[in-house]
Amino acid sequence: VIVDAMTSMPRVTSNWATFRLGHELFAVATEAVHEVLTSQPLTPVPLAPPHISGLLHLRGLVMPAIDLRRRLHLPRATHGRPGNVVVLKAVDGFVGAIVDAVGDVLEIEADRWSLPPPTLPPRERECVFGVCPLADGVLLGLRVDVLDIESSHQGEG
Amino acid sequence: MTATDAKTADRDPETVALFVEESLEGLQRVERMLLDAERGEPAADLVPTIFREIHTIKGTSGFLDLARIQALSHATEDLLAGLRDGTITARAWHYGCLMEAGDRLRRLVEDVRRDGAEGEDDVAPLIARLSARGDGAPAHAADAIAEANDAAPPAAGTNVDESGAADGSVRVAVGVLDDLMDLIGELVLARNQVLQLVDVGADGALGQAACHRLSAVTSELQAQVMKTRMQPVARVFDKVPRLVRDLMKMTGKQVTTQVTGTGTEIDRALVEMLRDPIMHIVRNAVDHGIEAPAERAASGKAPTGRISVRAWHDSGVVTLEIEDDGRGMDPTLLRRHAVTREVLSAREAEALTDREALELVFRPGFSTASSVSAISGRGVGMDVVRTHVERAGGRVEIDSTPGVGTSIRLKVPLTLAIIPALLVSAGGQRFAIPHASLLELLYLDDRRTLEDVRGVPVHRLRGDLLPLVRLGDILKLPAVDVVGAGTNVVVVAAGDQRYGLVVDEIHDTEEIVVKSIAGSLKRLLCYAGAAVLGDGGLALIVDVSGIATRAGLDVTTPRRPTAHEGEDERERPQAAIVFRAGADVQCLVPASMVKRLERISMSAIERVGNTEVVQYGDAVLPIVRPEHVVPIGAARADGAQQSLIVFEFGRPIAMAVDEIVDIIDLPAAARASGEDLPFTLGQTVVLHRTTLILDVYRILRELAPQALVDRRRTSRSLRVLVADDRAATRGALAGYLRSLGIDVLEAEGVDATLRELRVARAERFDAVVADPAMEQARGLELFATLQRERPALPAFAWAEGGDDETARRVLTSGAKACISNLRREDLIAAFEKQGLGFRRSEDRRAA
Repeated sequence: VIVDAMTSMPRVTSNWATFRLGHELFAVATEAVHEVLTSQPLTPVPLAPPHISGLLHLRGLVMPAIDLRRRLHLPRATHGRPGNVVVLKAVDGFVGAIVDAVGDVLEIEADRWSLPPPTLPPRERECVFGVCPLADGVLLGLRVDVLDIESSHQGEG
Repeated sequence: MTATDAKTADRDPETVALFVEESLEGLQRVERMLLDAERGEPAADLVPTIFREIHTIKGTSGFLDLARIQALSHATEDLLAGLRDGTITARAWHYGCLMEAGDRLRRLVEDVRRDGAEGEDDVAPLIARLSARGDGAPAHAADAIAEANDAAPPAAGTNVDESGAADGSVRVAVGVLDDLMDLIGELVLARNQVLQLVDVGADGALGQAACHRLSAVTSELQAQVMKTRMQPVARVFDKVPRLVRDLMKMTGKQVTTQVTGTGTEIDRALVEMLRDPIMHIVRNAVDHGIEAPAERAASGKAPTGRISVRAWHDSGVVTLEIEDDGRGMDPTLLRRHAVTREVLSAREAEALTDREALELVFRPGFSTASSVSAISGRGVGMDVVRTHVERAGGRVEIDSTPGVGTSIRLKVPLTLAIIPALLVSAGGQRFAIPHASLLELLYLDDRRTLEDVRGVPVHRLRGDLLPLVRLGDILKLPAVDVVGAGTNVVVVAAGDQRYGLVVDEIHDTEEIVVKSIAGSLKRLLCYAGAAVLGDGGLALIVDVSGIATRAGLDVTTPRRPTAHEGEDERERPQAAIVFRAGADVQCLVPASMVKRLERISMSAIERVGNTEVVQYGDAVLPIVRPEHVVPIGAARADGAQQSLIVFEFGRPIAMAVDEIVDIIDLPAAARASGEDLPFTLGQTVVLHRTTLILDVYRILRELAPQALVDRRRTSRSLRVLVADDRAATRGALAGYLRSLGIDVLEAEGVDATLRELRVARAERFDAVVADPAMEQARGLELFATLQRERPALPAFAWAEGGDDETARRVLTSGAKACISNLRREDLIAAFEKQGLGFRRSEDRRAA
């Protein structure tokens, strides 16, 4: 996806892979998605920051598994289902994002994206480049490259 | 968004990458030819070749819409056309101009690589000068000569020995090679799993044969793909002559550069990691090492200095050496400087050996440009150099003689992708420790061998205090119940410091496929990456420097004998237990061998057959009396109490003695002198009395052989001491044995070997492999000494060529076998013949 260098907003119509975390629906560009897996065994990493659940080994690729709920300071999952791992291509390698469930791929025109509303909590806002209103809610566009960065906002999540 | 950005987006990234790569290589060739030409040795096809390179750049840059590169290469091409057609006569001025154009083009191309677009560099003035075709250049002959001198002093030159790039090559994107490497890693793991399956269950010969074939093919494939990652060190070395030339111009010094071994290949990643350190060392060599021509002449040297840059490969280690014949470094001045800069106290500085004083240049904060150039030859930012090289899994060595020159050697592994590592566990989790940082393994079977110095647990290892760091504590892992009461210690080296990493369990050595980690995990600085293991699981690779830093150990402090000063390990004191035995004869044994001291009631001693025993917990402790073999007279059999010294060699065994006198620090100078009584290691004077040093192991072996559990029959891997004074052959053999899963300790000479055996716990080694030719005839003597002192320890000769005469002499000296160092697999056969079985792990991985 060709994005604006300043805002990271998409400049062309493109396809978006969606997934759920609790009641919220997130999207990443399909090009950034390497693979979607069922829940995977993780190798714990002592002293790792809280948003890292462990290391994931996928056919020779070793990557950190990001607990997206923790990264976004969302409440912990209560449903007890294992969830999915979305393997994403970030700038300095792959990351595995742990999500509740994977949704549809949506085609979205560039002008349907707008900047995240100021009402979005800052700790969530740092990971979201924009929002796109849908018929039944709002799609949050995720910034892949900031997922493996320890949050600068202390949250209660 | 600007117009440039739009164009950037339109460019095909692969075409751009190819253009960048090709152009940089072309410009490198252009530079080399121009340097030759400047020296007055222009190649015959100089102009046509350069013309072709520049023409290619012009064409592609036009296609890619890189306006500045296109305009500049166009102007350069025009000048070259004039030179080619003879309308312009080549002068030094032209070469200088072309050199500048080449530099500028490279900068622009590098901009493209970095940003995807040319920088804002103004190329118009340079184009104008190129278009002037030298018409405006000084016309007088004298000026022209002055310029030529300016460009390159006639006395100086560059001599590049090219090992010739191979023809018939194709260009492959680096990403493809990385992917191939990943796939090979996967294949290796899959193969290991299959081999385990076959090991465990199947009995069919067919399956085994197929597995062997799979194993062989995989290993071969792995080796071949590794080769594709290799690049000649020319990628680094080619930049040296140019750097030296520029530095000569800046400093007014005259230097000849000699570059050899450019064809030596190292891993692509290492090329990148070593470029800066090497450039840094070369810069230091010219700037601080080589003297000004007048100063050189005054000290009787040729006015032109010499810097030689060499590379060679020897048994898996690539050495890159940068040597100069400059003023060298004076250890005395370095010591003084360390004191001035408050890096060391005067007393500490005084205690340093010359070699250790040289190592001071690696200390952060030791040197600054101004102070070091005033007093020493080198040293600016050498701490950074070492950090870089150590990060690449290598090490830096430095040699210097005042007035003669300095030599710095970088030793790096061939590759970073697959390395041998020791697997350990702590807190229920597996970790890998790279062999590169491993020194030795210890098992401390008694808590009392741990001391506490200012809150830090330490272990006294051969007289040196070894700080201990609990891996589980540092990583905040939960404590787990560990089998056995002892402590497993992995002695590791981090910079100058060595320390003991305490782990719950020590497992196997395995060739691990190293995976880098990025992002927030990398920033923890505890892990050097992750290793994919044979079972497909992951282990974190411990970064021993990072762990040391987290534990609060100062990794930059050179290791010093903390308790006592002394230059050599032989001169360090060793703890000993002094006691009286027999007819009031004072004896001692090394404290490191002793498990505990006991006093029991005489009546508790029972006789079982010929052996005295005592109930000890729920076990039976055999008791031996040294006077039965050592001629020290009969013991007085009075008193109701019996003192025991309890040793443990696999299981506890006690020595009955008259009275424990003291625990002392035995100065080595007093050790092992005088005539040898049987079952002793000599005598010495302590506490004002002549004292026998008992050979505990031999005594116990003689009196209670059944009590000495042969530990090598347990799961422990074989431990072998390899003795050879030639580092290269020693390293090669040690590497081979380690690759078979054997624990190896290296000794660099006869004395070191004897010290290891005498000082260390006797049961630590299962075999000794030594070069009988070492230190002239002393190697042969060693076998006789071993035969006398350690008859139970099989010794093997490892001889150059292994001719019959050598073999005969070695075998009469007590060696079990004499193996030619050309046939190392014979050594394994000889081991097995002596009942030294070990888990043959070479079947599981690349032999």
